[in-house]
Amino acid sequence: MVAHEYNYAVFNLRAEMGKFTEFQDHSLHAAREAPDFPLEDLDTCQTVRLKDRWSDGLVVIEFGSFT
Amino acid sequence: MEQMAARYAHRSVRSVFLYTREAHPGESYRHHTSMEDKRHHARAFQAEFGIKRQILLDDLEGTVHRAYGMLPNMTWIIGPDAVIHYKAAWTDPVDIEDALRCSLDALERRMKDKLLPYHSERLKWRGRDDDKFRARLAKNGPQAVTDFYGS
Repeated sequence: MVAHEYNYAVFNLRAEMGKFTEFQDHSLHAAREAPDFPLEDLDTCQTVRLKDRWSDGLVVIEFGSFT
Repeated sequence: MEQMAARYAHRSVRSVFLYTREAHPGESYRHHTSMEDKRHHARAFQAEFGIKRQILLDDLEGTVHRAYGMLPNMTWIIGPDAVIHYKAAWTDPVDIEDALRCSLDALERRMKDKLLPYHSERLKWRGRDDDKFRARLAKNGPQAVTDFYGS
């Protein structure tokens, strides 16, 4: 999925509601291994690894946006 | 979530906010066309809601968001060795704290009490406040309201 498809300009209720059904069939489940990715820290602008958040304990990750 | 993050910070629990695409773009907060758009919105979010947690930005293609299920406000709890302890389609601080306590207890006791993990699932419920939601959409811009509710 390219950036302009992912970042929709117009919210589509039917399409986005469908994502909730897809989430139930999502391959990542409890007890499985979480994938690691690089991410940008907003405050430092540095690239960090997601896996470093859980390396020494638990991490609670909330996904979201302003809107 | 901020209050919960502060309560558990001393127990080796990190809490982060992973910034995704705009769920309900409107005239005031449009969809991201660059990482600078995303940074700008994330800073506004940080200031508006007083976020003290670390905010991590996904890339413009939403790579991490897509890998984890692409819902607008999920919460996941991941433990040592990258094991997924909890995933939820929505963010409910009460439910998350319940799961967190359970995981912390198990991690502390697992060696001594010879605990073994197993997978389980449950159905959860959340309240609806259409007036509050509509007002929140209106802050994003009129388009956000009409996109969701129609003209």
